[in-house]
Amino acid sequence: MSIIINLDIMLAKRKMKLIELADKVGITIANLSILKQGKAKAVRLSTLNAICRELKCQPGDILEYVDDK
Amino acid sequence: MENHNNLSKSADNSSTEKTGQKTKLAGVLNVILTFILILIGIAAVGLFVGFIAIMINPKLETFNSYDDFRLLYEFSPIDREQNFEVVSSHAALTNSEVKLLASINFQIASRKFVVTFFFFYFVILGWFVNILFQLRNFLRTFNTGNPFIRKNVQRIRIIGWFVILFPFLGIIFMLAMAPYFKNIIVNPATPVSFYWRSFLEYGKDSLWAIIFGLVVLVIAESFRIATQIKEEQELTI
Repeated sequence: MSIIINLDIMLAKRKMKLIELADKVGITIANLSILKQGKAKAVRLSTLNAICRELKCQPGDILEYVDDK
Repeated sequence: MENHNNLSKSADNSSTEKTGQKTKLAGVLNVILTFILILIGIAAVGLFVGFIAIMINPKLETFNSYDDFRLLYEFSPIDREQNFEVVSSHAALTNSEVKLLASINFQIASRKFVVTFFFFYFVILGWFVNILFQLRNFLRTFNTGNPFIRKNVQRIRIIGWFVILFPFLGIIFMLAMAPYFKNIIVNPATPVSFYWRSFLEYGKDSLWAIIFGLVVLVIAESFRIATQIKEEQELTI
């Protein structure tokens, strides 16, 4: 899996805690931490929509593609 | 976003209703299976007690020859090659029946036979116990709401293989019993060994086991795919 999640960077920039974001977005803290650790296999567009809405950023700020080769 | 919340809420409600009904059935089956396993456990204990009782019986000797057997049981002089006279106070058996009984008794009244026989009975009992045990553990996971775990795939696969290989275990059992039964001729007029004929009958009956085992293995494979999908869905944010 070569999609890197830069959620912690965005959280630091917006000075928001993980728990706070989880409440605002409407997903569990466990799920959000799975996303933050990069263990997620898939992200729903609705969830991504909510995260970008709350962090006031673009999907590219959170998701980054890195070539495996 | 609100639509999505409503959709997910209604989906959760219907799935908990369904899992509630399903866990009831699983609970009943779990109780039945546990009960069956306890019964088999009692049967195994009884089998073991019987085995010990037979083995410590001083009359159970290892007969090196038919003559030793005859001496112990005080038959009148008997010529093994020809039909012999019956000395019996009960209703007269035909000569061939007595010969059949004598041939069986001679072979079976030995420690080696008892040990082999009981050993295979315990193996077969354990075979069934394992199948039911795996099934019981598989059903127990239904209560958690998620039966799609890797351990369950393994359990179903074990059930499938144990069912397929059971007839072959029976063949091995019959081969092990060969030295005791191969000399028996049921009807002296037609001297065909019933022992080798019994293999044919056994093969015909065991076809269903192989078919059923194959079906279970196919189910195990579909369960593996379902587990894969479930794991992926769990890691979907």
